[in-house]
Amino acid sequence: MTCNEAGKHFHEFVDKELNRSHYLIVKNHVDNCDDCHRRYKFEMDVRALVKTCCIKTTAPSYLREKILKGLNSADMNVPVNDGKETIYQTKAPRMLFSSRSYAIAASILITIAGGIFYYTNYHQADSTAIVDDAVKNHVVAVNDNLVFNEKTSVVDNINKYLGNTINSQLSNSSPFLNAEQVSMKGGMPVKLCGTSSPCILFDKGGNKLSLQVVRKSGSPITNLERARMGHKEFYIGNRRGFNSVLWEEDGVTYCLTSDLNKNEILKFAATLISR
Amino acid sequence: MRDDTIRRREFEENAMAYVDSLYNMALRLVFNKEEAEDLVQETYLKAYRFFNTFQKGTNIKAWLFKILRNTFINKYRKTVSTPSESFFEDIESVQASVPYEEETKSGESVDTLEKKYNDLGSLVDDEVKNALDSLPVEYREAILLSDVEELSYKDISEITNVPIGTVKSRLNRGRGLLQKSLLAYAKDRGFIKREK
Repeated sequence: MTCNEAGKHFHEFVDKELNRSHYLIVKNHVDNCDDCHRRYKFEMDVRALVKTCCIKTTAPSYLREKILKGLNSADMNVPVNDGKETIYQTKAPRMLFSSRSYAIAASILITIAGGIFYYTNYHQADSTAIVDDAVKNHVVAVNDNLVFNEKTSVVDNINKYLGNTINSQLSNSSPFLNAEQVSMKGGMPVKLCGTSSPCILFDKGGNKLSLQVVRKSGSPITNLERARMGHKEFYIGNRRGFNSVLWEEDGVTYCLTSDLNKNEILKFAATLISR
Repeated sequence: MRDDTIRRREFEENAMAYVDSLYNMALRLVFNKEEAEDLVQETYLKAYRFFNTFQKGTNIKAWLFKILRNTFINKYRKTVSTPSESFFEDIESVQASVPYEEETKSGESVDTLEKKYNDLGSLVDDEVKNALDSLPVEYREAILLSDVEELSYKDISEITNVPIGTVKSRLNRGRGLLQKSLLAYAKDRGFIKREK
């Protein structure tokens, strides 16, 4: 191994991110080459310098107390919700969303979107309302994508994910992804036009897209710009700078939202449905 | 109610150990103690509310950092647009390996590195912090997550929502820039000392 080759993987080597055999090869070189060894020492010293400098800063002691107090007040709200939940449970099997919908609602009160519940109560049949909801969910999901797991990084899992989280029947009618450059980033349950939906996030070259569905939507899509791509009809809505593409398939309305431009999001939607 | 107590205890046991780490990162993001405190507090509140979405067995520290980052973006960079970032990534990856090869090719002499090493020893914390803070935020956060928090590239990629390759190139470039500016500080000091 030459110094040049070792240099290419130098950071990975220092960060211990190389696989074992590769690591040993580079290590062998670094141990035996004076220049590289010096450079290794230098790299380690810079890292150590940064680290020691940063960890000297500690949070003020009152911050911990403040945080715990904040958790207390968060706890105080929980029992109120618990009461509601038991009523829901006897009425209908809403177990799936009981605690999460509370979590979402609470975060919305404090953070950005605000009003998913408003729309669950007052939603109209008008399709612009779907776009409105979808964009709000999209913003929350993209910025608050707190689902941090591995299963979602596999493209094939979309059907499983749709099926498992929401409705097993849906997996039969859900779209297949054939765009390989797209990875699934995660998802969270949301409310779309009064029905529960998954909000699945995709990453397309750094751009985030979210897919949401309205099952048994019944009413046709209205008041939205129409576009045709292949044999399929799409509807496009725009809210707060985000584009949403809607289409229907087997009685399910799919809604794809992103800040991509209309053409690109349409193209992406087309790849979602073409099997 | 008992479930809540268990949940609360579990959360405190697992998450509260990282207050210092998060505060440190927050401080390097907002440069202001009060705002950093608010940011950390908000992060914990949010994490607590979403604790049921945390997958047990995965890295809770990385999860907390991700929430911190999202909270920061929501609060301070509401208008951040993804397309421009992806444009930026492209440029970044093209140039990613340049500083390194330059360095190896020029075959830095033993003296310079030796000298560099000695120079760094003279730096004070403020200078290191200034050097860090002058880096573009993407590089700064990558370096902090890697060097200070010692998270893996994979965790960093999950936190910052970019591919591992981008994490690597950010670290490469960021460290190159950081070393340059650290050495510039060190040089200044040496120069001043010698003049006296």
